[in-house]
Amino acid sequence: MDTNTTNLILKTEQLSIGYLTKRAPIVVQQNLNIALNSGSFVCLLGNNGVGKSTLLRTLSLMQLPLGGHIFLNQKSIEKYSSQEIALEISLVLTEPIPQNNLSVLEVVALGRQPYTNWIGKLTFDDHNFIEQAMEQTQITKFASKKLHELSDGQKQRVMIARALAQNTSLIFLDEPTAHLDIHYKVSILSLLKNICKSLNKSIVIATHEVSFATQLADQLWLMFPDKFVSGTPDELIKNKSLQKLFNSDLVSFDTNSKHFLIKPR
Amino acid sequence: MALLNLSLGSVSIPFKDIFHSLFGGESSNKTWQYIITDYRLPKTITAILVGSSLSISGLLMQTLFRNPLAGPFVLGISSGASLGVAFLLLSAGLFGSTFSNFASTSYSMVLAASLGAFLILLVVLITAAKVRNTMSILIIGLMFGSFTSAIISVLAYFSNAEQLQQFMFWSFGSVGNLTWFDIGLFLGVEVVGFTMILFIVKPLNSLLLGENYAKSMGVNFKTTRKIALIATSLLTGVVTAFAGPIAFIGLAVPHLTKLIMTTSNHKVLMPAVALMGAILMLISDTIAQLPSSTYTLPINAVTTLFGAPIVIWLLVRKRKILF
Amino acid sequence: MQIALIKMFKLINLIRYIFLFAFISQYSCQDQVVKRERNNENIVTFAKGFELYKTDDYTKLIIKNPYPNANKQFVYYLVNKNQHPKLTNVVVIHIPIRSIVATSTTHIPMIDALNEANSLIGFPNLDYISTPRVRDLIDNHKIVDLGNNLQVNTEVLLSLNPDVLVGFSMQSENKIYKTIQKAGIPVILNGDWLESTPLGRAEWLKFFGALYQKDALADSIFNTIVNDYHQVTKLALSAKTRPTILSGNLNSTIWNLPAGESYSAQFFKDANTHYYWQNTTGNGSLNLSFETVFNQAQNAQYWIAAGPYKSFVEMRETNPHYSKFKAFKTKQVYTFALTLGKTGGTLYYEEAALKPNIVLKDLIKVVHPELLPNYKPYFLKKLN
Repeated sequence: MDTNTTNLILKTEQLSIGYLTKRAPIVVQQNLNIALNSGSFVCLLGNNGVGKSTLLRTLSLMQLPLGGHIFLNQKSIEKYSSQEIALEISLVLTEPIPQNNLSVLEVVALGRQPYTNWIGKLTFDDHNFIEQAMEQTQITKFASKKLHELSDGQKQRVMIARALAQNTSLIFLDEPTAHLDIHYKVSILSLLKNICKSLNKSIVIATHEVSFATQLADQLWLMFPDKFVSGTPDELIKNKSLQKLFNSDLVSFDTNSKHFLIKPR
Repeated sequence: MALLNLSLGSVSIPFKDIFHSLFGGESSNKTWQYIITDYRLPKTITAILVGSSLSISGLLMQTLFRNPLAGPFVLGISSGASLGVAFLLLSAGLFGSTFSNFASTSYSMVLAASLGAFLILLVVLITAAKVRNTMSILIIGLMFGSFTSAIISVLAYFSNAEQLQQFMFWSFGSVGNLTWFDIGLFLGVEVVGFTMILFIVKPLNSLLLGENYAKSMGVNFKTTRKIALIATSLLTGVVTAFAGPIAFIGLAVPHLTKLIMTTSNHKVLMPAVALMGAILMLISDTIAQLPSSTYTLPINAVTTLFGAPIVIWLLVRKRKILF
Repeated sequence: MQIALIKMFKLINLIRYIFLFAFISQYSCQDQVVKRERNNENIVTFAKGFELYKTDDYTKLIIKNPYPNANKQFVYYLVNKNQHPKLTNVVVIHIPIRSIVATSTTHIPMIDALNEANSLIGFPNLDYISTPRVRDLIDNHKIVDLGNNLQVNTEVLLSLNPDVLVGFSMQSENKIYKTIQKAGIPVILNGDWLESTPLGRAEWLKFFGALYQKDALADSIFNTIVNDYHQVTKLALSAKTRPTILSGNLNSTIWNLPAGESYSAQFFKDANTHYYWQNTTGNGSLNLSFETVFNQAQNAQYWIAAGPYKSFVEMRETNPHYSKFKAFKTKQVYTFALTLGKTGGTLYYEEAALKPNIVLKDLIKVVHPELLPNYKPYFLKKLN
């Protein structure tokens, strides 16, 4: 594993994640030692319910870890206020956005909230960031449309633009391509890859798109019910970790095409 | 609208006299002057204060709970206030008449309403601190509402006609009969409430994307929720104390405004909703006075009778509820 | 909740009418054409709600106006226990009755005036009763409390098994009374509260007189009242002034005051005063806005029956506008709310029906003090 600490943006030590309940904490994953380099494009893969969303939520301090430590820029994440976290990490979530009457421009502008004053006044700088984010995601042409008038793919772009406007070094996206057709999937994933490289941001995507992930990601994080493995796609194919991820009676991994295929009966 | 409200009433007063009464001149009739400056003007101002407070509280609750049915009274505040007043007016039936001597004065009513509202609010806030889910708070508020109505029914059953009547009239709501001192107090609490709300306009906007997105953009959700709940209780508490449980305005005005304004930005919505609430309340009060007739209607009936069809019509036409 | 409130309000409004201002319902002309019994005249002269016809065998009691806007009347045949006239298909009540359950405090002084307090065995909410002789009986546990007066405890009432229940009703259907009637207890609806004249209300004493077979006593008491009332009315006419009168109080934003043809307005008329709403129609109460009342009666000399308030301070605290009336400034505000019985019942509600002459004298003492120099008011007290 890369030990170049100057390049390290996020690191965890013996992190365990899960939920606190009245009786006993429910541990989803434990002993997680994760390292994330700045400027890398990471895909988080794993079965449903294995804890991908929980991990992203914990890393962004939306929920508290059950144990262990998280370091953001070599500083314990507990020392950050929610305001300071918002300057470092932005999120794109799976949850549906409540019906509202906000325009695309207004939604993207919300991304500037960590930077604006108490009443949320946008400065010249803020406007620049908003315009840039909209251009990068190619949504400038419907800036004045209402969010609820857009298609799912367009909405997803708006939410990504909003995360971009937040101008953080880290962006977490939880299944950003769910419910999208293949055209949109590719366009969104390559958009993210593009952003990662051109703006030198670290992006972590929880996704089920194994084949796109293996083609695009700098690094894959594989989540098994009992362990966590990370590495480049090639490494993980070589040591058969990827093959084990979804292996079952029904599917098997084809190393050549980097695809899971349906097993012939 | 305020001028219209001032100039229409049971007693028809020429506009010239209204103008003179308002702007320091001598009206030709002392009685008219009193009616204008000490009855209609406080009433007009109260209507404005009541309308704006309730509407803003309603908007706040609808955004916070992301529920179109939320209103300023979902937290059980009006039930709390009703309970306070019910205890004051009706408990004589149960516990003897020791209370009833000072029961009917307006200040003890205001005090009882505030205490009741505050008590229920406190319980709701304590439960809210323990409950993570915002929707549960909504339901808990509703439960407290039913609970207090049940207690009021029991109290009502054991009280005599006069006490019941007094309670009924209180529950009909009224924007009349406030002294200038009352209005000063009312205004003071409103300024505090509005100032608090001003500070959460920004987080409220990000809350439109949902709790988690708001958090990811640096919103301290718990603090925002606390401020919203306290501001709402202050505003609706003071309204209920001085004007009784005014129905409908808090629920409907935010919807009306959003349908007309087609924006969700709270920086625009807040003042628009306040204005709309004030206007609707003024119209309701003007109708309630049944100009040039000697009769008046209870304000609560008017707000609902004339407001509800408007909302229904707008919704049928536009078909969509947006926050 | 809202609907429940409105329902409750309706109910309460009605109760209020009973206690504060009575009204009489309009009844059609046909009702007045009553089949006369042979050679017998109706012995009721002022009251319009009931008629009495005496024969050798029985007394016929017709309740003409049992509830507001009634379109039917009830006929009862009061028959002496020792007589057995042939009567079929009619309601027979055996007199003199020995035990009675009353439902309104206005019934109590009438029963007491006939020296029959001992016959009262049940009443809803005993605390409302102030009549001293009846209070003594209550203290000795001779009278059973029947609970709320709109929802009399049916089981307790049935177990008391009175000779007659004198009820009152606000509408034609009354489930409780039906149950009681089915159990064989005769129910007579008393409509005294619907009379729109003071003497009419007092004449209901004859109704009780007939039940106890004490018609002569009832007649003589009532005639004394009538004579006194007429005398005082004549006296009032000799006054040189006609002071202006304001009445009632604000409930929230609505000012309730007696309409021109109501029971209370009749007193104002007979006391030779100028009541501002004397010429309004209706025998119930008017619901006016503050503005209307203030505009018209700001300079009224006297404010009579100013609601439930017990002091000027309480009035001003309840509603600051009150203090702007001339009568308030000159302390000419009079109330019935300060004359209470031992257990807090307002005497006026209970006794005024039988003492219209006293009410009128009280009023004259206030507005024409020179006419009754040595008189001490009974019901009406000056607010302090």
